[in-house]
Amino acid sequence: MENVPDKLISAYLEGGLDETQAAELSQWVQASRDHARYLALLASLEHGLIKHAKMRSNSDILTELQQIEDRGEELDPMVLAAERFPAPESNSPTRHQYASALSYVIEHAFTHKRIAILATAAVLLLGAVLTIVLLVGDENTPGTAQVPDLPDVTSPTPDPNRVVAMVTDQVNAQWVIANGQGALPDRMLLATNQRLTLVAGFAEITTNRGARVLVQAPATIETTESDNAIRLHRGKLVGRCDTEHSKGLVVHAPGIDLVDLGTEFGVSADQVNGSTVLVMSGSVRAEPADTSPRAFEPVVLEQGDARRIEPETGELEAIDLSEVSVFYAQVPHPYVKMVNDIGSTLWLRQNQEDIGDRFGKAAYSKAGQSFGVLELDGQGCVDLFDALDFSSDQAFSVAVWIKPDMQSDDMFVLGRIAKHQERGIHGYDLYIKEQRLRFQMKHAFLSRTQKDSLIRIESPEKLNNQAWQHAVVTYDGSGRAAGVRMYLNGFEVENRVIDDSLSGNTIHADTTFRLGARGFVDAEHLHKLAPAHKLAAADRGSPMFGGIGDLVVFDRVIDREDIQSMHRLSRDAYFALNEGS
Amino acid sequence: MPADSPNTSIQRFTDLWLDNHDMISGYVYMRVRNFHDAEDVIQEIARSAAGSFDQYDTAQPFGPWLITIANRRVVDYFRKQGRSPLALTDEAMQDIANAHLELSGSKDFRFDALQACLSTLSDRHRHAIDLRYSQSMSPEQIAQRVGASPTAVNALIYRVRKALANCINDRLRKGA
Repeated sequence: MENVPDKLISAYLEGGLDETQAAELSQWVQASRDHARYLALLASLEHGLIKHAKMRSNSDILTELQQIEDRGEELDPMVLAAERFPAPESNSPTRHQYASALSYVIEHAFTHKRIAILATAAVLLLGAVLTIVLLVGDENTPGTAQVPDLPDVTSPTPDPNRVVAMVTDQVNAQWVIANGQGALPDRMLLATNQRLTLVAGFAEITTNRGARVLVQAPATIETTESDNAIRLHRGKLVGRCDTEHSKGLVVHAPGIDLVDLGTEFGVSADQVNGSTVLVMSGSVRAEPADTSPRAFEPVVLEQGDARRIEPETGELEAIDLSEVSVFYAQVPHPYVKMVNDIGSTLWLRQNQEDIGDRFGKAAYSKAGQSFGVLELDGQGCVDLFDALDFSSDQAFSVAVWIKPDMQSDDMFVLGRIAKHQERGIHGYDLYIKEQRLRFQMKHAFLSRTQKDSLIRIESPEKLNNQAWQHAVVTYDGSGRAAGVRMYLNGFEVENRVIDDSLSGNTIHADTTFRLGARGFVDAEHLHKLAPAHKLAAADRGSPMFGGIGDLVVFDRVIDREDIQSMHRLSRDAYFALNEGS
Repeated sequence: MPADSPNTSIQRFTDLWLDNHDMISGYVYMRVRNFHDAEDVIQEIARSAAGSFDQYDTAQPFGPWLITIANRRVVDYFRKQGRSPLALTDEAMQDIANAHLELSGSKDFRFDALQACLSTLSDRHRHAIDLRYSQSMSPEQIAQRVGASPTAVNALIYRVRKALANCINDRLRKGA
């Protein structure tokens, strides 16, 4: 091609085009279809080169993992990933999410393990209670339930028209599938005999029958012809059947087939050390795999039983719990997320480094906490960008752990609230006023010539100083104070209504969602803001002293059961060490 | 014809999405100019497209429908960023979108072509590409490492890109 404006295109590809050059390049593009095609090809090429580099890195990891397995060495894959993907500098222009996601997992491997153990212990305890309830109240105990037949899994040909499972939850999941590598869409359907490798993160797969399988990277799984079975080639998973319909989930692991009888169990597939299984609650029927010599008789394993298939002989041997891999009993809870009314994650920030722009002294603490807590000393805040913009006719709920350090009578916890000279103050926020927790939705006018429009409620009791407390506010979209409920540590409190005059004025806030202070505090970032944000930024506003953790926002009213379960789960797993301290 | 079951519909969307994934990725990357931001925008596009798939007219090609959604999400992205997109005119962007659609028919072959063309690079050029893409170094960082000026590095990388683009184009034309 002739007359290619090389310098313009180079500047465009490196992001350094000024307006005049952009106009020139636009003219050149429009002059010929070939020109447009050429530029499109160059841009695609750039994208392809980056993708190629990433695929090569992942492929290297998988190859090395396989070599390690073949040699029988024990090396934490997370360490390997850390070597491959060193955590980039937080202010590096080249930092990328994939490396961050991996480094996050690595950094938190030990705390994750602690959580997993706690969660497993909690599940075992719960399982014990459930077993007692079942034994007392139901003749059909897990041990005597009828064992379903194993499905035929011999066909290796995927049938794209037959869906047998769905990816229902993912946290930082990176996959390798037949036609590429990367993230899979939420709620991706899986056809029969579909093989997937999870190289990073966690994923929950739900079978057509409703059984849930939590896969923990690195792992390779495959769907089968059955609508309630998963083949685990390598790695770890936890299977769970919560409903009658989902009972009978089959996990095919090397040397062993496991049939879930309405329970929860973990399976680890390791070509060198053999497959292991741990029954966390209920019971599981174990049979030799079709492809293995019949080295053991089918057996029902009960809660707390741990077994390993000896890879040489195919025999099933009892092992001590201390020899069992750590399984994640649930998808690790994200630090901040928003979920919709069917439980899908709409918006997620798990990686602490990616959670938002931090300004001033806002540090994430790792010590003694599972997912890090935002620690604030009155001089910092976190900006979560353009998120969680609700209107006054929209239901939503906010749940958060807070540990206030009562150094100030007015401390902003979180919210999206803007101050504008003409439109006044509008938005919603959760804050602590004279040690009581307050929630408000407002449209107030600065001129005082118009009447303020707001709902404001507060907790009847003062919050505890220097102690973790779980606070939940739900709003039903009614525009009335009666539609707002407040829960502290799992229980509803009789909130005190201070204002109940929200009219039709919007509470949409032309700003960002923030934690720890209503306004930005770092002046050097001001110039980057759009004009509408600058006024809000200038208003530093009621900084928080203390800790904020585990924020979850829902676009619906969550009920008491949800709240108590959320409180109990996160208290047991994350906040037990500090609650009340 | 009976209406699709929800499962069939989602599976059909998944197939179409995977067929068009490379095309839309290249297009969004071209507009956003940051690989990881582009990946976020692509996820938003997937979410939007899946959510409104029942409005997609199956008699029409899927690519242009997806481009329309992509344009909206790119506008959202720049709005949230509080900055303006690179200022190519709307007409030029439309021509480029059409070019992406034209190229999308050959996506598998294009990636194969890229692999093949990469193997024809000289060691020096391959090293430059490795620093730029595998190690995510900016031209300024590369310049610092090799003791050259950023302008020279830019020129070198552009030359390699151009050589690769020509090589791929030749292969596409011969393969077409």
